[in-house]
Amino acid sequence: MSEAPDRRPDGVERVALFVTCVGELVEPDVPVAAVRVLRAAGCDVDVPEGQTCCGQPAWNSGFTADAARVAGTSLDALERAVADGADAVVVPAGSCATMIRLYWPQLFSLAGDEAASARARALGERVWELTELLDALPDDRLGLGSVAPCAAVYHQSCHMLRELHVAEQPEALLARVDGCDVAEWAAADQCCGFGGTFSVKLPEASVAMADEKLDVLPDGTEVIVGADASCLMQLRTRAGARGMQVRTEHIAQVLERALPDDGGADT
Amino acid sequence: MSEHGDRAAFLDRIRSRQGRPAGGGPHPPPPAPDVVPELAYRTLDGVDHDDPFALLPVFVAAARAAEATVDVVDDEVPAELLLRFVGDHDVRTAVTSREPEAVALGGALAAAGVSVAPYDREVAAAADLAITSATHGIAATGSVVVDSASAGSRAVSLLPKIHLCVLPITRLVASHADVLRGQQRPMPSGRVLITGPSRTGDIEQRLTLGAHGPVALHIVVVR
Amino acid sequence: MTNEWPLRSSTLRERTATAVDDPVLRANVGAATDRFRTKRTSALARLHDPDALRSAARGVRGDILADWAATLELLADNVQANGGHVCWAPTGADANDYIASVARRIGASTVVKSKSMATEETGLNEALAAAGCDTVETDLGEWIIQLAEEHPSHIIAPAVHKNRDQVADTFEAKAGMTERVTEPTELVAFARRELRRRFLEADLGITGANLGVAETGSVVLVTNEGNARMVTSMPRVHIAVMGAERIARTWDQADLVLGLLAKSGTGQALSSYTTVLSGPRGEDEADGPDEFHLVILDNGRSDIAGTEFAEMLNCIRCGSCLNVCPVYHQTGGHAYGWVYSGPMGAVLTPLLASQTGHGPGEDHHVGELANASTLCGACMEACPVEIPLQDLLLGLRRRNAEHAGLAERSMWRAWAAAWSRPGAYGASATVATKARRLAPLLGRLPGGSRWTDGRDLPDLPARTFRQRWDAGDV
Repeated sequence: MSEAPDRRPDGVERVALFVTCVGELVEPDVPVAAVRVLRAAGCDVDVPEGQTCCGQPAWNSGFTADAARVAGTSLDALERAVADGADAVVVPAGSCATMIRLYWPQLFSLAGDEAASARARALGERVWELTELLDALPDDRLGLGSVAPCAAVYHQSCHMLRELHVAEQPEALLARVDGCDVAEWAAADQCCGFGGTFSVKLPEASVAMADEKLDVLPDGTEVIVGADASCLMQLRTRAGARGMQVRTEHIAQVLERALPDDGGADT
Repeated sequence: MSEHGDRAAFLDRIRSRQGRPAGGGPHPPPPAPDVVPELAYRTLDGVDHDDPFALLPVFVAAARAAEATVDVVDDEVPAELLLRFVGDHDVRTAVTSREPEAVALGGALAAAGVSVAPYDREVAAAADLAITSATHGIAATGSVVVDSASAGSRAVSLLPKIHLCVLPITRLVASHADVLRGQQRPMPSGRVLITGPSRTGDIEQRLTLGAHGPVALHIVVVR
Repeated sequence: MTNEWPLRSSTLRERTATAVDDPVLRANVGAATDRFRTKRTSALARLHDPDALRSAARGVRGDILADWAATLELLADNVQANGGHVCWAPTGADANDYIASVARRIGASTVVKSKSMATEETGLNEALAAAGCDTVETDLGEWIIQLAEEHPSHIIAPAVHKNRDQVADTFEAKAGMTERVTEPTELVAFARRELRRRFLEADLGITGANLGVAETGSVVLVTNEGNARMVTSMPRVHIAVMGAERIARTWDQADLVLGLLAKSGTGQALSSYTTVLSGPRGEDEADGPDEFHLVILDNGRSDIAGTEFAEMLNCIRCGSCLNVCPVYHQTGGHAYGWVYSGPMGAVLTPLLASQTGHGPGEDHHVGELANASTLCGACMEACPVEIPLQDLLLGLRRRNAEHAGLAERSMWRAWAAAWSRPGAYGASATVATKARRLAPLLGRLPGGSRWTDGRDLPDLPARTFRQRWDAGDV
């Protein structure tokens, strides 16, 4: 199985952020937090114009040509950013990072565009999931302070864990945040049941999967932290329907709150 | 020996369908290894695979982990061990395979008052005890290997309530690879790697021994 | 495919909803898969570098099937050299006909079977009933569901969905249990007594085959209960029904595959009995069958060769992908509607459906099985031969999309048209945020309104990210 490539972040200074469609439309606080944390780590952050979505919704539903059309738009935008000098493309969502890095070459190839497939493969070398990059930076580049004490658990999202093999990095970062107390969660690496259109094609199974995770939350858990806003949306909306008090928060937002000189969150 | 159906058509269909699959996905298959690797068991770390005495503790631990019981004896099976075994399991009737080790042990049991007969399926189906010997013991998995050709039957080790298997220590090997690999025709009609007693977990995952075969497997390793 | 299966008479959603709503089933399936999963982890941890072994096994399985026809030929020749008979069965009906003809020739009245998924595929029991045989399944779980007239819910633990009281009910109603017992040990003892009688009286024994090993013409059977040993040593005829792909050329290959099989499935070092059978009863042997037959079953398998799904043929039916699948964990096997369940079933069933004349994707009821996954990837991580099940599921979804209805195709086309143009993407974002609700977006997905079945609607933000960025507020 493919392992995470041994990529060195040395010299990553200019970063292009891939916002993701969920970040753009549903959870803008997540890319906002990502920008601020990356800046705090000394990165010059650009958000390339023209990017939309990675194409994953259509790809996972089997609609290759439609997925390639959308992904091609984002490929163009990200490629331009790299040509303009970005050292890295950062994605604050494990699932979208996986789509771009692992599946884009196959997507474009199946869509009959071998040139785009080759371009995607080259771009993929520069794509980082947010915590993967932050953890790889020398600790002194990202100073992390404290947050108001909270009882947290960390949700390991599937593609990030099993396809990108980014497993330890998020919790390593959280461990550097005073006040964020991450407890063991027996169901941490179980799928949340979102699965894109799975969540509406088989809603009963999807909800049952969320329940299985929520049922075993450690007593007193206040917040579920994760690196994929869509998983967190699934867990939050199910918890809400059950009347549970637990919140969700993207790891970028936790890290943003922990920045020693918080630039004033506009949330 | 006979063949039914159309072999050529069956195989032609397969041949006609086979080309190299397109693939191109993010998880491409690896090439076949030049040498098929053996499973490397951690319990065999640092153990001389050719020294049965070094393999013995590994074998005993693995067999016990598989719910078998094991005694290790010198030279021949002591009378008091046999008497204790007969008493513990209330053994009144026994059948033996035709291997000399099994027949000899049967003789000792008969002397202890057990009704011992050579294998017959009706007798065996009602018997308390089966006595066989093993062609191999597999240290890594705690298995014993019983051959129909040397035992004289496939089911002698299966039908009675308890299976007593004699394993001369020189027949201990490290892993199943030492038994399975290199097998050639002619093969015994039936060869079985027995790892613990018969079991099922089909009802609520509760481990229950003695589903269809023996409820207990007792291995006597003879040094 | 036999008609009694619910695959074509219900939808995947209906079946999963029914399963999720059954607390006994969910508790039993959950407990069983948890246990298998834990035991698998510790069994593999006793090996050095199990991931390298899985990868090697993937290469080995690919190597075997690259030479598929020649390996089958060697196997068939050696089975006959060992004194056995071989039947080439292109379809399930061919296999059933042959087996029924053997049963008639020997005048078989009682047939004992050891668990075989291949014969579930072919509907053999019905065919034998038509030939006048009383067929008894002898794997305990399989016997329970045969008595209860249900289908297997797990490929290695067919009655995993039932609890002890339900088993006792079945034994009372269908197996003549007069003094009700509910302790598993007592239920097992009851089954042992009843089935022991049937083993001894049976004329014909039928098994599947975990592996056929070509170089010696042998068939390997792996069981814990010992029923396969009974079935292959008591009756006077033994027929093994083997999926044509379940082969190894050499014992080196077989050793690797068998070494991983039990560890991956039940988490044992080896199952209680790994039985190697090479033909009928030997000379001077007191038992064993006078006749041995190997039925080599295609039944749609060759159609998988040479396609992007070819790696599915590497499957060794260990059940580990079921045990780690979060969807299977909630639903058990019946939700998949046919013989095979879990991720391997979601892939294999649509592929084998080609035997009915429908290509993958053409038959919606079969094709939609590929949707029974969140693509979480746990299956590939557990598979002892590393089948990239998530890639194959995606491939099947692509086939389905080729045959999708106009509404769905139009919806994705409209989505792609909008989201491939940054201007239109921004506009759709603005529309959504003005509504402050996700409903308009979800409403554009097929079945999108089902989000609120058990979940709150997420609020949408007042401004999109791009609006905030452009305003210099980031």
